[in-house]
Amino acid sequence: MNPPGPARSTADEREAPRTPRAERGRDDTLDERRAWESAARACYQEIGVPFPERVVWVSSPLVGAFAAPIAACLSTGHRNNRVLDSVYRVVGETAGETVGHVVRAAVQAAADGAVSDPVHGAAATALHTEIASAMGSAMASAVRDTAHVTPAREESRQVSTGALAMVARASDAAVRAAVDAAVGGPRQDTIRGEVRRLWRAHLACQRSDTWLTLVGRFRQDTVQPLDEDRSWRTLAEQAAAQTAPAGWWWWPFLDFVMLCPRPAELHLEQVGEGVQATHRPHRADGPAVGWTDGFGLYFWHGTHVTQAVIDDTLTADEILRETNAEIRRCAIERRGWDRFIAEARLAQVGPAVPDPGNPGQTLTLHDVPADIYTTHVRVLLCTNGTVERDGTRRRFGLTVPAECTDPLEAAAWTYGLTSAQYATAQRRS
Amino acid sequence: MPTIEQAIATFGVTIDDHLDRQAEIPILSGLQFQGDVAVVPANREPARTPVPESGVPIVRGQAEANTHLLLATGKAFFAPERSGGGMVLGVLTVAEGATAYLAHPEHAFTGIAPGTYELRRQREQADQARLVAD
Repeated sequence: MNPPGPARSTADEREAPRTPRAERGRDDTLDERRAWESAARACYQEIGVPFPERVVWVSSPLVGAFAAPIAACLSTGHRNNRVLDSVYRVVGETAGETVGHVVRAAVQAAADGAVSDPVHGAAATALHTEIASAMGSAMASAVRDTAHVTPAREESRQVSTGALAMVARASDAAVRAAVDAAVGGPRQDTIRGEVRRLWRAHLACQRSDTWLTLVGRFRQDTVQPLDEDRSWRTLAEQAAAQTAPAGWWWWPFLDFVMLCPRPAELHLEQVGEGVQATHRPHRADGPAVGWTDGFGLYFWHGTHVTQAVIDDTLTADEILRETNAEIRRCAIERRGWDRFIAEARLAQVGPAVPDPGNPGQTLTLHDVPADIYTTHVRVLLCTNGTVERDGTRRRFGLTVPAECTDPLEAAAWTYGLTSAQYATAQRRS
Repeated sequence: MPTIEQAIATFGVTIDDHLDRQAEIPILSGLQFQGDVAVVPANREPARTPVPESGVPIVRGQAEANTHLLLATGKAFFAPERSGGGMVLGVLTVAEGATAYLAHPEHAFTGIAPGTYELRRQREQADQARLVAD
């Protein structure tokens, strides 16, 4: 087995000063990079290919998705600068200037001075398929060779693989969309073709339990005491962070390896309690998952949505025209039913009625057209029984079965009561 | 009727500081709501498991905030419901002479007079009816 080498040439080290210190301490620990590299070396060894000299860390999956294919093209001797410049330009235009710059830096680190092999194109050979199928046997060797090493905590993985799998799927979708936006147009050339083809030539850690376990074998138990880092809000988030290995996505080529760190930020919410508790990504005021270069993934209670949904910048019409019912629902919930009812002019069903037990407050019921929500519902608009800090009372909507014909019946349904029972309410706080 | 201030002193729980400390807590035997939890008078077999001094978290909020905590002065009993799709949280029995309370940081206290009740969680119509988190 090759000894773990030092982490080398990195494009993202240039980015490091912009990373808040707390995050840098967590993401870029040398130990983690070494663990990743040892695991990757084991895989290369398994397929009988020398581990490349060039190990390039990029700042996010998005950057790697552009940089790896472009570097592969340059390694094969692609020297058409006009095409290269036009690709760089379109990446900057569609994915943002920052991403454009770091893509260039990463390509340079991976391909500069490479011995190009224009005849066979071998330098640019992507090895992801071979490596994916060799992981199992690499694992077997690692277990044999490192039996003395304590593997990273197993229990922390249980907490969070579900949430991490959701994040991995969303990364995939977001990167796919960005690649389509940049190079999916009618204009095609060698580099564009390779970006469309090779961005997928990555190994995402969550797809393979074997890979996680393999990195774990090489990881000294670097798991921090759980409450040491206060920038992580919950134990689950810490566990998820510690589970995701440093090489979140990696692109194995003959000539170079490109990889990106796990997300610098991850916000989860707990669903359920006790032993049945699960976690899912969620954040109402920003990306639930973020990398240091600004690439972020947005989630509403576990559903991957666009930034516009979370930033709440859609018009009511745009929400209504959203074709995916699940995302439409998220957008409405993010907006809040009280505002959405007014903006979308949802028809009121029956008169407003006083809310029993909640003096001075009323209940109203509104129709929700059958095709705009996941199921046919009506929405009951209620007011909290307790005042907020600013003296107002929070208004909120609850979806109820479309069969409810008046506000009282709807309110009663939400607690499984009859209208007559609900009407006897003495107090709401 | 105790005030919010007195109940805080008795139970040592945290209540949002903008809520009036001198407000009295009505002790009622009828239907009451505390946010997404309902106290429903019920004709059911009385519960037999005593509510411990530290209380019973009826609905646990995210990261321990926004928990609805069941507390009591005197003898009160609570039996969690094991079936019923999660809407009925359990049966509460408050003995004669005792008072039970639901405490919640944002909703303060709900005072519950002697009797037997179902504690229920509010639901919403989603793809399947789901429970409300407030």
